[in-house]
Amino acid sequence: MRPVPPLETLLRRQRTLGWSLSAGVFAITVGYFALMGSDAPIMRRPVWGRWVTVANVAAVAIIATFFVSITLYGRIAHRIDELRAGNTHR
Amino acid sequence: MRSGPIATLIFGAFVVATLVITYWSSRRVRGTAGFYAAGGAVPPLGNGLAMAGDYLSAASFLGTIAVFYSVGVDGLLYVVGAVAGWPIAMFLVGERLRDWGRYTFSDALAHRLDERPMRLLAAMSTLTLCACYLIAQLVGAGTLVETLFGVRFEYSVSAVGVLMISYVSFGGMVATTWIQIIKATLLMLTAVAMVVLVLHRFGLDPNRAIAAAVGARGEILMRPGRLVSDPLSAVSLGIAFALGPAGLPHVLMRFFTVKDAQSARRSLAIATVLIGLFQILVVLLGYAAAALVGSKPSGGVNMAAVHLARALGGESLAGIAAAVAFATILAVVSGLILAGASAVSHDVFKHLWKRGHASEAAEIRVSRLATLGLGTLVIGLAIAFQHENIGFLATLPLVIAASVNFPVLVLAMHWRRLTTRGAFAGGVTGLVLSVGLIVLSKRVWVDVLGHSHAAFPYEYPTVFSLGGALLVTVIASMSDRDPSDS
Repeated sequence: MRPVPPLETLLRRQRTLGWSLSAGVFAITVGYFALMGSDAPIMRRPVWGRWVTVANVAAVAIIATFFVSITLYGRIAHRIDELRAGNTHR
Repeated sequence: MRSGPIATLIFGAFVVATLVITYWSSRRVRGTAGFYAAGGAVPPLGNGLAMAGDYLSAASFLGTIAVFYSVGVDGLLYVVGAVAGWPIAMFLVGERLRDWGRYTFSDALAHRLDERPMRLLAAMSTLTLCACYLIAQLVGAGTLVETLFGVRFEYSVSAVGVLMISYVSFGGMVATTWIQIIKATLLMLTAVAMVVLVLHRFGLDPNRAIAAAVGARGEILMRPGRLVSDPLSAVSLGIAFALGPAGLPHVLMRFFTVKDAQSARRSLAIATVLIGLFQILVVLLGYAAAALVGSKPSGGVNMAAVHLARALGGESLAGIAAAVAFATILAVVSGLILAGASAVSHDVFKHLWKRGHASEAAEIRVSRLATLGLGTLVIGLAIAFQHENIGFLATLPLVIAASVNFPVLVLAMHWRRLTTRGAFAGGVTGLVLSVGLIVLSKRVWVDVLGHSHAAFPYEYPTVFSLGGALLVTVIASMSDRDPSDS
């Protein structure tokens, strides 16, 4: 069984992860808006059949990525909650 | 387009149910904690639903489907944008805001910086933002009721306004939360039912639905870049969507209706998933509307969702969709009026005027009076704006929230050198630039005020207003010779 990192280490990781994921979400969103706003040809390229284009698939993929990001953040936050609860009980 | 008896029945049932909830809630509201924050007793699942309900306004249902119907693939911008702000709110603001505050986000600012300037800034931004949001929503509600029932616009808006004032005045946050939970559930169920019918008609291959849309409205439907005219405005709109939700006061109030920071985080995760799933459903509904709703739908393009429901499930489903859209507007305006009234009673009356020495009873009394005053004011403004292009008003709140509340809150939480002077100067800069540049843009300067050319060349100003706010905040904080509050 892996040793549990101390609370301070987990909090630092959570902070770093929070900022990194926020920067990622922000960059993906603004990048998507910039490509759509400038009518970039790649957004019109078909991916599935004739009409499901990169723009459509990217939108759904971006939302799925947001779900993954909150799951990642939630896991580390949950470990911090458990550690805090353990410290309180002790 | 007039509604049938089913729509009337569902409208009536919803209004009666919400009034019963308000009566039930009014007997449970105890003190300011009960009025503003439902006593911090809402479970994370209910709070997540209410958060999603606060954000999924008529713009998300009627508006996004209307965008797909009229400009096609650009509707995806609203779909992605609607979800983008929630993870950022969770990562940067969520737990710390719950730990620092009590009822409004200004409590969290006052926890870290000088109280009076911060509450003044928060009250100014909250009232500006809520007023813009409320006018847009009320004009939408008035148009919907006028179209469906043939009731004159003035009476429709007044009736919606009276309901909104009643919910908040008597039921406070308890009533508002339950109305949001019911509305969010109804909205999700309606969207799922409509998607099932779309899949039944077109099969599991989305190509068939999109091909039918292109067949009905032309290949131009699949060309991006028609919603926003230039890339810089598109980037500005993207920034407003990504950072705005973490600065919307009626959403931030929901961080205090749960018992602790962990519950606030769970609520945000639930809200993100619900909003994301709803938006994915809307993509299919948008293309189906373009395929199945004929050109020039009665009631305008904003009624495309209701026409789609009729095409899929006849009068019954159209009645349900219209009633859900009405419920959506009613619930959102209740949350907004509560946030606006709290800014008046909690920030201006209690902390700025009475310097923190007001009784709970007096504060709640002022909140009820503020609800009445603010409600009456926005009803009047909605009637005045009924013939204007109010599209800009619906996006202005996100621009203001991203340019004022978001930078001040995030810097207060994560930057030790921020000073009160820096936060106030930056916040005021963001507020003046966001409102001023929107007024100078084509949507207001030309379309509403009738000038020949726009004084500001872009549609959305977030790049400039947020950039200006951040720059002034940093410069004013770094040059502050008395950083005693940093």
